[in-house]
This record gives sequence, C-alpha cells and structure tokens, in this order.
Amino acid sequence: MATPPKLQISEAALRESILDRIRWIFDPVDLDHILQIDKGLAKEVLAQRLDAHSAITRAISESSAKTAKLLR
Amino acid sequence: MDRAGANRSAVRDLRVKPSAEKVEIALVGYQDQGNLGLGYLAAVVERRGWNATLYDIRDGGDALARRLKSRKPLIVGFSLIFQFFLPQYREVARELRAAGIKAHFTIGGHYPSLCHEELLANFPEIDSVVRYEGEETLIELAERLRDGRDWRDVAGLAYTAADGDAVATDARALVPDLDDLPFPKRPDEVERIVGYPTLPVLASRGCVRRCSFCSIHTFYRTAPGKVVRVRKPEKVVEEMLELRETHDVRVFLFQDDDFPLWGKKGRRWADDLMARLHSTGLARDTIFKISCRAEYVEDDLFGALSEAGLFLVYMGLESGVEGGLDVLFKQTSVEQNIRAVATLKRLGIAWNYGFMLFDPSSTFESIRGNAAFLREIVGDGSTAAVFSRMLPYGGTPIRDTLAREGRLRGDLTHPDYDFLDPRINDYHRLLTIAVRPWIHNRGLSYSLANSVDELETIARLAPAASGCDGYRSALRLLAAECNERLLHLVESSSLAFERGDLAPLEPQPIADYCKANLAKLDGLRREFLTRNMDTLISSITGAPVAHPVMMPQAH
Repeated sequence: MATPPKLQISEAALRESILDRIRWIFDPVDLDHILQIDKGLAKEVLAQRLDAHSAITRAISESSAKTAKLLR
Repeated sequence: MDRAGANRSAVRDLRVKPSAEKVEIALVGYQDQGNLGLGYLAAVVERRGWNATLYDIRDGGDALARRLKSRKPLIVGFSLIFQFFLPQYREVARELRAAGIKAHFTIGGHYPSLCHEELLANFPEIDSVVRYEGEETLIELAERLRDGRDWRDVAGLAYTAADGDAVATDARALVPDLDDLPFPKRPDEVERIVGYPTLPVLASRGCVRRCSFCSIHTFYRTAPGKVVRVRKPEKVVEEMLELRETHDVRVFLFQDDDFPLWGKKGRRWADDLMARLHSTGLARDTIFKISCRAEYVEDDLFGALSEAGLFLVYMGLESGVEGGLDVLFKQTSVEQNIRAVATLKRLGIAWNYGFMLFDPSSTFESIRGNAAFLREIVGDGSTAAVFSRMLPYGGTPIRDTLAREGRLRGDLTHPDYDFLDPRINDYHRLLTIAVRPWIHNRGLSYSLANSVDELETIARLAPAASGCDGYRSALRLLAAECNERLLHLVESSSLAFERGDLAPLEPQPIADYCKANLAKLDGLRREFLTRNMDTLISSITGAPVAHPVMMPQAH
C-alpha cells in the first residue's frame, strides 16, 4: 500500500485539538451510559412502566386470591 | 422478511452487471479512532487491486447517497458491532435504496455474525451477512458479483432465501496467520489526544476466556480455526513505525480483545515486542495503551512495559463481589482485581476499568458491596468512579441463560432483563436517571477519568510541561471528593430505597453538584493546558525527541 504524505495541521487547529476532550471508546459492556434517553422522556417511560408493573402485580394478586378461594 | 421482500432482493442482485471496470467497494461504519475492522477489509480489497472507500455512518443517508452515486460501488458493506445501532443502520440503508443505490448491501460484525436470522428478519434492505472474520468472504463475494455469478454458496455468508427463510452457508475458517493480512487502511484524518495524533493497532485477535456477558469468544469459537491468533512482534512494530512516519502517530491504542500477555509464551512475546520498541526508538517518543485482564498485571512485566511506553491500561474488572464475578464467569477474584490496581498505581501507570454495578445476580447487598469495592480502588482519586449495568447482548451465554429463566426483557435493539428482586428493577431505573450527570460520556466521571489520562499522556510525551505534579494533585483531590459523593449516593440511596424512601435519588441536587464540579474541572484543565500550550505544540510538531521519555511520579 502506498504511504500517504505526512499529515499537515495548522497551528490554530492544533491549539484547538489540544483543548478538545478525549473521546475514548469504552469496552462494549460499558456503553450503557450512552443509551440513556432524554431525562424528561425517561421519567415518562418510568411512570408508564411502573403503572404497567402495578397493573400486573394487581392482576397476579387478584388471580392468586381467586385460586386460594377455589382451593378452600 | 416477507417473501416479496426476499424476491425483490434476488431481483436486485441480478441487476449487478459484470464489469471489466475496477471494482469499487464502499465500507460504512463508525469511524471513531479509525475503524480497524473496516480498515482491514479495505486493505484486502486494495491488495486485490480494487478500490475501497471508508464512510462514516453518522454522515447520514443523504450525504452518503450523494457520494456513492458518483462512485457506483459494487458492494456497500456495513460494519455493525452493537445491536442498538440497528435502527440507525437500517434508516441509512433505506435512504440509500430510495436514492437509487443498487449495489449489493452486505453487513458484518459481532451481532450480524452471531444473530444473522434475527438481523435478516429485521433488516430487509440487506442482501447478505458476512459472518465472522470477513476479509476472504468479502473478496469472494465481490468476485462473484463482478462476474455476474451466483454468490449464494460463498462460505461465510447468510442471506434470506426466496421462501423467506434465513440460510447460512458453511462458516469460513478464521484467518490462520494475521501477518498474512496487509496493514489496515487508515483514515486521512486521525484523532488526537491533547494534540498528539492517535491511532488504534492490533496485536492479536480472539480471547481464550468465556465471560458470560461477552460475545467475543462466541464470535471466534463458532467459526472454525484457532481462536486466538497473535501477530509477530516485528510486524506490529513495523506497522507502528509506518504510522509514526506517515501519520506522525505518538499514541497507539492496542484494541486487542485481550492483549497477549498470558503465560510464558505471552511473556516471551512481550519481551520481543519491548526489545523492538526500544531498538527502533518508538519507546522514546511514542506511548501506548492496552486492554488486558487483571491477573496479567504484575510488577516485573508491567514495569518493563511502562519503560517501553505503556502509559494506560484498561481492565474489565466488572465486579467487586465474588458472586458477581461468578455470574459473569470472569474467572478472576476480587483480590486479583485489587492487586492489579495496586500494582498499576505503584508503577505510575494510568488505568481505566469496566465495571458493572448491576448484573443479573444483583441484590441490594451486592450493590453496596460493589460500591465498597469501588471506594477501595478509586477512593484516592487516582481515577474516576464509573459503572454500568450488564446488558444481555446477542450471542452471549448470559442472554441464553436469562431467556431460559424467563427473565429476558426489552427488544431486539435494547435487550434487558429482570433482576431476581423486582425492587431492583425500579431502583436501577431511578439511579440511572439520578446519576446521569455523572455517568455518561460527557458526564463528570468520564470527564475526570479522561483528564487524568490526558495528563499522563502529557507527562510522558512532553516532559518539559510545567505544573504536572500540582495539576495531578488537584485532579486527584477533586476526583476523590466526587467519587466519594457518588459512592455514598449509591450506598445511601440503596438503603433508603429498601425502606421506601426515594429522596436521595432526587435528580436536581445531583445535577447541580455535577455541574459545579464539571466547571471546576474545566477550569483546572484549561489553566493547565493553556499554560503548557507552547510546550505541547513544540512537542507535537518538533522532530522526535532525543531524550528518554520521563516517567511520571508514582501515584
């Protein structure tokens, strides 16, 4: 493969790059932090999930009560 | 994929006409730090005498379509590693098709290789999947397409048949000798760390371990051939010298699945590598980062590696409790993790780590145990406290286990699971929202960790920089304080949550705290970098330094 010429960078761009923050690529398993959704949206989703969780728990509880009644 | 979709795909392939023109292959993926996977593919394409062009998926479908229209590629190859990027890739592929790009669309990477049926069913724009290592498969696929021949018996592929079923051809053997591959093609522009050109390199492929949360070993074990292959040290150093010459690279990031340091053989390999780094002068004016397992870290070897330029070690510590390490099948102990960190601190080598505060075995007690472990290793502020939750990615043993246990949740792109204690599901969600100002890629913890890494880069490459010790002390103080606050939050909020008290997880005070400390960090960092700006520019642009690289003071 032909070797490209050395890369050139202006001093202004270099100064800027020195102040830029690193963007490390973390281990795949550490990517959870970039998957988080908007904070407001997350709250809405959480509320809906908790509602759903509560409905499921209620349904299980009701059916358990019915089962218990049948067994008696 | 429906039947009609499969037929459309078949028709599209027939439209690829044989051509005597030079074959053009477009390779699309994330290009952070130079995408080594695509770089190797591009290099084998160019060795064949064809053209390969690298594109960043983030440029979007419109921009890519405009560029591809003029180049008329025979194949557009997508590199997809993580399944949560699937919707983005599909959108780009859809836009390319809508713009009239008729090339054969193929895709490779861990997720497509291991879950090809799932991928093909959810990505109808794709004509084929290149499974496992793709260098030879891509070339053979391109030859068939160029000649207008049927490609459906090429080894290493998967595709959707006319009846709608996914078909996988025989798996192709892994590349037996990595040194047979050409050096990967590099992007025209390189990333920089505090101004120093930085590129990734690879010394090996594969991992002998079988961590339950990781798909790397499944990827390499499912295909025939030797799982772990290590390059010859002379070839690694030859490539580093070339990159030093062509791209002025001063910081090398070894992206091995597991840097090959295991056992006597690994030690001999490392000795050979280090001798060559010294004899070629690379040890004097370049530095490198590796990722490895905690149990490899010991004084003699890492002391020698540090002298050869090792400045940063990433370790997947993953858990600070034995139960967590067992579930993750890390095959290490908490004691080994602690010992590795202590050794790196003693040697003055910077370190990062992966850590999963939450895993499928989590209890409130194990969460607090993990927080105590983190306090033990980062309580001194040597780096930042970071953590995540284990996610059950496609192709991992733990995903299968969770599915068997009926605990797998989420969807294709965002796999998830239920904790055994259902209260932890809710606690995890609330904690994730609360600590977001800390734990995300521009958050307080990652900014602190990155600042430490930047400082150690400067301390190694620009020994004339002034105020390193003072800045290191200030960073350490700040990190120690912020770490303690974060870990206290985890401990106190988990205890409070068990009592039904959500007050410690109120996000606003946490956001205010992080904002104030990020501002403090930015001030410290900018002051240090500005003071040393001229020294850094001289170090980056000047001739290679003639004096040995100074070692930073031990942490």
